[in-house]
Amino acid sequence: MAVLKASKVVKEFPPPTKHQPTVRALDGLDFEMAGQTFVSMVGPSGCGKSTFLNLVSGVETPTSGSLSVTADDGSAATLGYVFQDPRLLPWRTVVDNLMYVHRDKSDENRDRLIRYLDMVGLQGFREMYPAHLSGGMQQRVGIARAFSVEPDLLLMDEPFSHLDAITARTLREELQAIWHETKKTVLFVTHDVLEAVQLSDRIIIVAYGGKNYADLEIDLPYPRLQTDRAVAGLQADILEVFNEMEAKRQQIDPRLASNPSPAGGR
Amino acid sequence: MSDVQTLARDDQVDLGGGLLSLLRSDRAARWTSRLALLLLWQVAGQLSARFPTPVETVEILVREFQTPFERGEWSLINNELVSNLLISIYRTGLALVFIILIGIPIGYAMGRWWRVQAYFTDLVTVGLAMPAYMWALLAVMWFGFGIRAPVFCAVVSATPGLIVHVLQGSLSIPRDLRDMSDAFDVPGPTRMRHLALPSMAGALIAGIRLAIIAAWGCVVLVEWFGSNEGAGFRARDWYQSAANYNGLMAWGIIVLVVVIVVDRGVIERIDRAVHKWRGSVGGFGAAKAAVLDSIQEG
Repeated sequence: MAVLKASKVVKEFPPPTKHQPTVRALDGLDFEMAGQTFVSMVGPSGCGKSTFLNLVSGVETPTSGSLSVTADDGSAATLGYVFQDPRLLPWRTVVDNLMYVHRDKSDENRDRLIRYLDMVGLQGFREMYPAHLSGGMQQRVGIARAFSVEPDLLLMDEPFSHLDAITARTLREELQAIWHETKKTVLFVTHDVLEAVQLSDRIIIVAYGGKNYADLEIDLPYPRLQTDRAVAGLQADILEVFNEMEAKRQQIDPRLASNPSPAGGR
Repeated sequence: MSDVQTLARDDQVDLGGGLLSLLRSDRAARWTSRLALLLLWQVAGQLSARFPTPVETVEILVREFQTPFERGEWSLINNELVSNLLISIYRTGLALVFIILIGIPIGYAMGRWWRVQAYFTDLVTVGLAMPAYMWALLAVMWFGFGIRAPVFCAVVSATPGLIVHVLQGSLSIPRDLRDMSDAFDVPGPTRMRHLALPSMAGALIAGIRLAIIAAWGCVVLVEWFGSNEGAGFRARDWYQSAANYNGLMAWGIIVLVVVIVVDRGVIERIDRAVHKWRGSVGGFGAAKAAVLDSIQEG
């Protein structure tokens, strides 16, 4: 498990051309999470959610503010990352894709990794190449790879957004089961409110411009289905929060009325 | 009796079908092309006294093989054909070591860091623009006879081409896989072995293939201008000393054969081995088969 602390995090990107302004993806974001928790960060496309994950994982560095990720005992945290697309090496087999992110290249470790493939139902596919697998199976490999490093903090960036609805639903249910088994600290980014309600015990809503908007506890028993009445009811409540956020944005700048927020409402 | 007759008829049908599929195969197309080339060569030789026929060419090669190299005892290695060929191959091999050691790191670094690219771009362009025969003449003037001139000429002529190929390969390393490697903190040597090299494999093999051809051509060219041994020297010797077109043609053919043997026998095999994973892709049906296998095993 891990402790993640972010304080007044700002991330700016250089302008695409000389005459354009700097792009500010995050504007003073505050965030804290720790322990066996599943937190979802929800917000409209372009609000800086994925940028925040990239900062946490160290792929990007913040322009200002402070950000720290530590293991429970204060040492450097091990991170796992599940991306929107599986990001597998096409020239390596399934098990070699898992081995790629491990420093221990021993046969014992290779045997150990097979347990994670079993966990995501890919026991018969370990020696196959990614192109042999369907999109859902490839994403399962991505999930197994992230869990295989036994991360203190697991980052998930819209991992089911590229999958068809049926596969995504199955994987969400599997993810709930795996999370209950492992109880990792998970930071999950999505723009799908229903998905966030189904999976998380806390939802952070990020507004346009990369600012905090709301922090909500989800107090529903697991396992949850998207068809549960309580889940659907909570989704409706959160969408109301989104509508309120959108109305405030339009009050500030009326020109945005013709360009409503694309927050997911599935 | 009727069964026997039916069987015989079926056999005939199979034989006809097999022959037809053989005639339609890639192998048949390749051999037809080779035979047509040989026929054309024979016809050209019949029409012109200055154009040796295949038989005359082979006769020269046999004579070269039977002549001891530098007045020593004849052996399978110590003869005009094999000894001169081995000298040229050794020079090309040595040049290739330098070409690869210089070309791959510079090409990779140019793709990885834009400052390195800015530094080397003009130098590489000059290297690409300079004709090989200019380098050959300069090399002979600077270094004289011996091994240094052909190796130098091959290195300066072939390295820029390899750099450009490796640069393209380096630029084609997928950004999303690099980010994934960053996120999992994958160490540099592992990245190089499992991400960078396989991503660049196609460009790398194409670059090395062209480097071999360019280096071999340069070595033979320098030997023609300024050497007393090697395939290029022997071709010039037949042409200038003996005014013998058959000898020139024979060594020209040998120079070509070496390139083809290396290309087909080494480079293509490496290419197939490196890209084996592409061939093994069997679509989703292969995954289904694996599920059935695992169920049966279970």
